[in-house]
Amino acid sequence: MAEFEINVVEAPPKRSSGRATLVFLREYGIAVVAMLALIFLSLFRANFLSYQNISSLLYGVSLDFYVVVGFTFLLIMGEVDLSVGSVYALSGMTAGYLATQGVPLWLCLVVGLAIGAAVGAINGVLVVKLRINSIILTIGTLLAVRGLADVVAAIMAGHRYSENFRAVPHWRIFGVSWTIIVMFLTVGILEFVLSRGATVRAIYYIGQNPKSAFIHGMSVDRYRIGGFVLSGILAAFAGFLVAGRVTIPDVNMGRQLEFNILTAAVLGGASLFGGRGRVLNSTIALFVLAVILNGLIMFGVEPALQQVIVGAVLVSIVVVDTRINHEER
Amino acid sequence: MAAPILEMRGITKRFGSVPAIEDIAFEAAPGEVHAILGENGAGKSTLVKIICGQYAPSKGQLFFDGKMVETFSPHHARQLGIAMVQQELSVFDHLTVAENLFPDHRFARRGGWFSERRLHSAAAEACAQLNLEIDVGLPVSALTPGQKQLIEILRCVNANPRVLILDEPTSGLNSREGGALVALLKTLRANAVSILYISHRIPEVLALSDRITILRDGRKRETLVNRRLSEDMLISLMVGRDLTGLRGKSGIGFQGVKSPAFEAKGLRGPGQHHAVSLAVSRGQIVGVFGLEGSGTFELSQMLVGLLPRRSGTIEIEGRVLSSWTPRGLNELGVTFLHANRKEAGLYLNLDVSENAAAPRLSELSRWGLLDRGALAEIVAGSIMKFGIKARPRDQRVRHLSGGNQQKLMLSLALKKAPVCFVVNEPTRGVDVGSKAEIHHLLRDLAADGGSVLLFSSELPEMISLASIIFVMRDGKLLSRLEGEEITEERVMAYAAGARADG
Repeated sequence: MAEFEINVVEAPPKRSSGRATLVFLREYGIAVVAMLALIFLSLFRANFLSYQNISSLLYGVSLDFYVVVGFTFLLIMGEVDLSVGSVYALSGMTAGYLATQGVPLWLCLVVGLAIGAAVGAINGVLVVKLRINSIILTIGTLLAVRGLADVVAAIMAGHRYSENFRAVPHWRIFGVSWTIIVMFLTVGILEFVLSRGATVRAIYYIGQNPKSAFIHGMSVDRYRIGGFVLSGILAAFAGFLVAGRVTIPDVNMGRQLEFNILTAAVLGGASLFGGRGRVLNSTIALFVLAVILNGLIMFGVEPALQQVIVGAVLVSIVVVDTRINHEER
Repeated sequence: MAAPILEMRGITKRFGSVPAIEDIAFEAAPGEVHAILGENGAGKSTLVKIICGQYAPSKGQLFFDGKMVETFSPHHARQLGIAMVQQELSVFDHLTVAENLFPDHRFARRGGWFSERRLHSAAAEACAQLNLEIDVGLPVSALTPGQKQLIEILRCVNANPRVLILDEPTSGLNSREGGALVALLKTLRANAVSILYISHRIPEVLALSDRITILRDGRKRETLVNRRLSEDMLISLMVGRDLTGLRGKSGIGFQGVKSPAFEAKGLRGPGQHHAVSLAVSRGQIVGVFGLEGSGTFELSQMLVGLLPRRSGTIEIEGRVLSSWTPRGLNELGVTFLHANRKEAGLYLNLDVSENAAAPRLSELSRWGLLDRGALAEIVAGSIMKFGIKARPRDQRVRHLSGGNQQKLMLSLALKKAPVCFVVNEPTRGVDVGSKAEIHHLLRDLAADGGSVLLFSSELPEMISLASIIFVMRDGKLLSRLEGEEITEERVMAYAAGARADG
């Protein structure tokens, strides 16, 4: 056999470094964006780093993060629920309406959550049993549920929610808003459960390869339906809190929320192709998004332009997500 | 021999820190068929993927026509005239045969207009090269998998490549199609095309190739001129060990009572006219053989609850079920190996350890949390028992060889000794060494009192393993052959519909 005397040449690193960049972006992209935004804003806007501003940003996130949690669970399983914004509005307004009619607060909450669960169950059963693409189906429920929410808003016709309902999101524990404390606790617990919990881990397997998961004895359909129900309930709970905060039935409540949530979840590393995602990262991403929007407002950017920027963020992270996925095929 | 058109010097490719191939020197001349042999995991696929630009080497140089290749991309390789027939089909199912053959519409443009007539005549001409008698206006989805594979090959040939790479091209073909392909390759060789040929079918390689390069464990063992070579010699070079001890029939070692372990009665799928019944006893390997389209695949899927059925029951050790799911069957000791490991059975983007956890999530749950210690033990045990070459924690299953993936999949299915193991194509795309190991394992299962229901399209495998063979045709179980009755000729005669002689 012939032996060659050769100089060993390092191969052009182009392709592999491209891939390394992508993986880096996926793992740490959210941290990089957060750092850049924070540094930029604190350098150029003195009042950005104020306790007041940061805590009000955190507070906003602590009301909405429930939605991103449910959304992340579904994305991990390779499903999407775009009806969350509408559910959030319908549940919140309905609960507020009932409270205004003198129904006890706990019952208002139960009814609100039940609405979320019901819409989630409809989404889940239709997606799973009839094998409908979840993006298309939940666009349908988005529209239908939004219509119902508008009806509730019309019935209330500009009246304010009752005092006790409005007070809920403002309760405080040790001088800190309870929702912020609950957010930290919830995210911590879910982060642990998702990485170590034996049966919860099934959602990652289902997202990676549903057929394999089925053969390996996981109840794929039940997990999926459960995911949609959970997403509905969590959106309803967030809606319950936010309705109290906005004080009146607002027809714009939760409009386009689904897109911000989707952006946050994918920015946090959840993949549109399923099998990936973390609650902690999604929540951080939601905060980052809030920071970016806050910064835009501080710089006096037109609201219309703000949308352009959120859209651009979404498109660019989807590009990264798709490229990573493409390389793995 | 003419100056090489393709030459590799000291090529190494690593994934992470794991070398897939190391320090490979290789050359191919115009007008030769150069076969690449090796077990799965030996590095054959990696080698050809570097040639066709899908991977860039970590080290070393590749020369094409005497010039060093500096850009590694499939596009660049195509421009150089390197074409590769992929192992997995990539035809466009909803387009016609003609459109698939000429995706660039090369012959169809006339003044910018699309001429269906010209496209079709060019396509019909191409098909004639392989004696393929099909209507080129048909959508590809109407073809058999074998015909689809030929379309795929023709598409590459149409590009007039200077180097044509074929990775297991005959695996989905019947013997007539295989013969036509060999004839086409010989014509190409005469036209100075350089053909790189990967196959596990050693007789085929011996019949066709001019030179044979053998890889083992990512390194080149030898490049031999194909003259006075024997099958045994090549196998021992590939495997590096003797395989004779691994041969033998099933049902010999088992001494217990051969009670029926798994029985199906009157099974019928939607749209099927014939009900199917069969049984397998402890200690037995029972095979079901049929040609493409005979319904064996659907039967295997129905048996384990992956396809719906219209009627029928199954019985597991005397327990009658009228409806079942993979999960329920699993609890009763019936496990299943899916035919296509990429489609189902594994999680390619996860590592070995995470894959191993999948079928046992609830068993590994301790106070609701995954017991990592127990998992690590299981993984170490599986790697030992099934001879999987992989590092459990930092290597994605995607980057394992076909043989190792298959063994991993077996280890997932066999987490505990099954009452009945339904296996579908247990050695598809697997090298000879792994194949012998898998056969050995199935025999052991039967000898230990389990039972195996084997679905395989590979007749020699079927004959060497099964003590009873059911032959299936047109959705019907035609005959049951046992012991001396089992010969390759007879099984084939039933399966193909020829009248059995005696």
